[in-house]
Amino acid sequence: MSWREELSAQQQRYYAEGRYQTRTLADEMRDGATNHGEALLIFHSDTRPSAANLAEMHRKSLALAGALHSLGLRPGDAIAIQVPNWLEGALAFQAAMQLGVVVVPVIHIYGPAEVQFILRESRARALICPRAWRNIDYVERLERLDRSTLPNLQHVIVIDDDPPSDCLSWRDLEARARSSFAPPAVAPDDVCLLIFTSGTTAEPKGVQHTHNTLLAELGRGSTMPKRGATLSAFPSGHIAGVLGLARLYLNGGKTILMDNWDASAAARLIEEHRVRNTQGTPFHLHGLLETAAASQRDISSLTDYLIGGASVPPALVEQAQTAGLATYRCYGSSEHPTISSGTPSDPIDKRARTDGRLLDGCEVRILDEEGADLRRDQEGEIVCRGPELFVGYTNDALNAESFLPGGWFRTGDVGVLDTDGYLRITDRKKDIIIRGGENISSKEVEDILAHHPAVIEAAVVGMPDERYGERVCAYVILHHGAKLELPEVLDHFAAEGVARQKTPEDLIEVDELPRTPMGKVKKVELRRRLAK
Amino acid sequence: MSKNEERNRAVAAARDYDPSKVEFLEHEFETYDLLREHLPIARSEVSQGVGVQGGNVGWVLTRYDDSCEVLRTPEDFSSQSMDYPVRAWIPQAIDPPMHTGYRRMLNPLFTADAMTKLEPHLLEYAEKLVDEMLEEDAFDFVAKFADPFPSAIFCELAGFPAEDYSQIMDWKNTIMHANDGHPRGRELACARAKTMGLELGDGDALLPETATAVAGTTAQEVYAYFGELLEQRRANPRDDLISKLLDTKYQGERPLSQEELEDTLFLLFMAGLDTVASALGLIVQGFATSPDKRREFVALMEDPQKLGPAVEELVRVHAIVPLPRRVTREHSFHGALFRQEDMVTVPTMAANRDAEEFPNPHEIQYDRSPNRHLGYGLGPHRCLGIHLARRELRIALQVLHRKLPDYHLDPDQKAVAFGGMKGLASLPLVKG
Repeated sequence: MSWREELSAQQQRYYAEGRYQTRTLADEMRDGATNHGEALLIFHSDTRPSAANLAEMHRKSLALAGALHSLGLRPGDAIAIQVPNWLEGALAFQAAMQLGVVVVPVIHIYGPAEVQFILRESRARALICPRAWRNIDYVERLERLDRSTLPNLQHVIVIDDDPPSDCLSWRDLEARARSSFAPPAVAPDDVCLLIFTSGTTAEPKGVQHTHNTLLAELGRGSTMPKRGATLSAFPSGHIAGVLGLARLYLNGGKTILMDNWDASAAARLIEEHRVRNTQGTPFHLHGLLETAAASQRDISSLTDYLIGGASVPPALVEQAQTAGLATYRCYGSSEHPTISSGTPSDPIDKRARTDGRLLDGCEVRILDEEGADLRRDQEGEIVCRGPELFVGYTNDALNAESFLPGGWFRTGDVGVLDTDGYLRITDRKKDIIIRGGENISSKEVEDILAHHPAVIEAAVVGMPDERYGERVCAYVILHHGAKLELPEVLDHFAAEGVARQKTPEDLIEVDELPRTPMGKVKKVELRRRLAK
Repeated sequence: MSKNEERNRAVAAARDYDPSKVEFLEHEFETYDLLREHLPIARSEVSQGVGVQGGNVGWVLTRYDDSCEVLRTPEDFSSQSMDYPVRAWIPQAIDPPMHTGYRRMLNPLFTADAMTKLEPHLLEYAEKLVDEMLEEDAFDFVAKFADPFPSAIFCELAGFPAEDYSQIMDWKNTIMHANDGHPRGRELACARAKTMGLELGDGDALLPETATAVAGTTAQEVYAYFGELLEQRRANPRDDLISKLLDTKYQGERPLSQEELEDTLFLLFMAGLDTVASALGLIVQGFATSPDKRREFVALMEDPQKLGPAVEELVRVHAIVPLPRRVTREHSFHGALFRQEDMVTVPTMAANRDAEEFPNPHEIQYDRSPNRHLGYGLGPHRCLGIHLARRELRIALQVLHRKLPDYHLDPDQKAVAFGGMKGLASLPLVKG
């Protein structure tokens, strides 16, 4: 069977088990607005603060769906949204769901090179972005886009009252709103989200999710407590950000979103709104605990902390416990948002050292190098499947190698399933660096370095970092007599137009790289050198 | 049609699932088959008419095994599921362990032996009604036989005076059939709504709040009527259900309270008047359009060994009840997340046609065995009146076909169906 048939057989099973259903995200949002219309969303931002309740959000998004329709967007078209955690981004997301339009979230730090690729790959018909935010000038980036390779891109909407001449302003868009717009019927197996993730390939991979896969993830309700206020600081371009936004419609508690992580602001918001739940990476948690202690903020209302996105130091979990905060880890990816999760009531040892138990409906196998199943407590490659597993990459060439017979997805991560059923991620097979929660493809960074005239070859690995988990470290072999310093690397990466976070922060010049007999660079060896 | 298109059709069917709509009946079995194949545990967007609070959802189950599981698990799937006019009916709307106490008390009144004693009377009454019906060459089978036969028998058994029969039927139709396509039910409910000064609504259906108010007021009258009868029987006991209820003791310990007596009578009243009538109407309608199956039945019906299983098969194929249940606790049902207060509909007509349990499910096979159909329900709430219903059906079908082996649908007048606990409001037939 082809991978597509394998996945289709699994889908059939999820329907038979009742895991896949008749609903779309638009249904959930409409019901959320009906059932808890008063629930407040606060968009905390220095630049564009705002607030709205779910009933308003629903009404506005429906009108906005009419506006997007009037621009020619139709079910199945894609809209790229590169907007921080702002009201406009949330409204655009919801409007697109109403309209059956595929949302393509773009991580806010992505520069023109990545945005160009994503717009082309997704065939987005519209892009929404700020004019400028923090130190990013989005309009300047827009000018650097090569529109000749983007024939589908018809509209750029800039969240500003004074947009460039060939763009629409957010206000122009709102002026097209039609309150009488009747949204079209959308099928639960329609793709509604196309999210790009960095992986082993240099180019981001387009991960497709349907209403069913996302609702399977959201509907379980077990990954997130339902009561009390929630603080969400995950950037909107990530799967976690998207899910956080959708989840608040289902749960209906007060939600505070931050457009930029600022530990002291977070501590203040937690104190002010008596926030009970939040999530983040070790980087966020570490910062929060430190700031709260230093500023004497009362964050005692916070009881649940879902931690993910990077390797989690057990010491941090224990430190949080001392501060009265039950942290628990979870494991997932853009492709399979939550495979396993701890719960606040798991034993601290399991919370500190494992990524929790498999969620209902999720299955994993641990495989050896030959693809044979390993026993409990043995370390191997994790392959998974479940109702929230994506439905394939946009680039079909990636799918054949990503799925095994039976519809199992190769995560590229290495781990152990213990005899109590807890999963622990121990290493990753895929060659990426996770810096402050952002996946960075080593291959992409290596390719950019290789463009530099001084560089013969580069090998990039994660350097352990207390603050970010990892930072980008490049081993380089230079041409004879050539010299390369970090500032020059910074300029080179800026000129290439990629996100600044991908720029190497450590540069190690070597004469040769450790290699396998096949000639492949031994990344494990390089990482080991750094760990010393 | 591709698998995906079929699934999308199933999704649409599930979202709009509303068995109380008479239009639904036109594609009923096709829809259940579609759902069973693609969405056996399907979430519906239509509140199931009864008891669905804001934020809670309706589910519809079409697999036999799932249906059995729900009906056998009253702790997870409560029968306290409907908005009953005035008060909940006993024992239908009561969960174990209370339910068990009531059933222990009521079961002895409806045993097979007790019902067998009624057979000569059933036979005599059926013959009388059929003879009267056949005085004309064209007749409405529902008005002349299917409705009066079980209803009059029940009124007699219960102890409702014969002269109250038409009032009783009007009450029943107003409460049960205001909004399911039943013309008389709607007419009565509208008339009452007008006298109450209530808004009817513009569509085919009465406004739900109007229907509820009408049912409530009507039920008050029924309760008052029961109150009077109970009063009379306390003074002068007779050999009827009302007197027997006055005599029984709950758990052998205490007599029933006035409310318990009335709520029990209410259930018996509703169950006794509609169910056999609906089944008879649908069975005979089926026979009118499938003469081969009718002849096959006529050929076997005098053989007592064959008649029983044949009638069971007819009840399987013509099951009438979509059973409602209310979820009592959040749990995963196979994979679907059922939340507390969600409503689950178990359409017995869907379970009864699951090919996994019943090979060639749409075909009548008079000697089908095993035939563990859900036509009488399952679990603690399985039909209390099963022994009476079976005898009524056997005798009615025998007597009818002895006197009238051949008949067909009246080409000039269409039968009128109603949804929900489905059945026929009229079935015009012609001899021959």
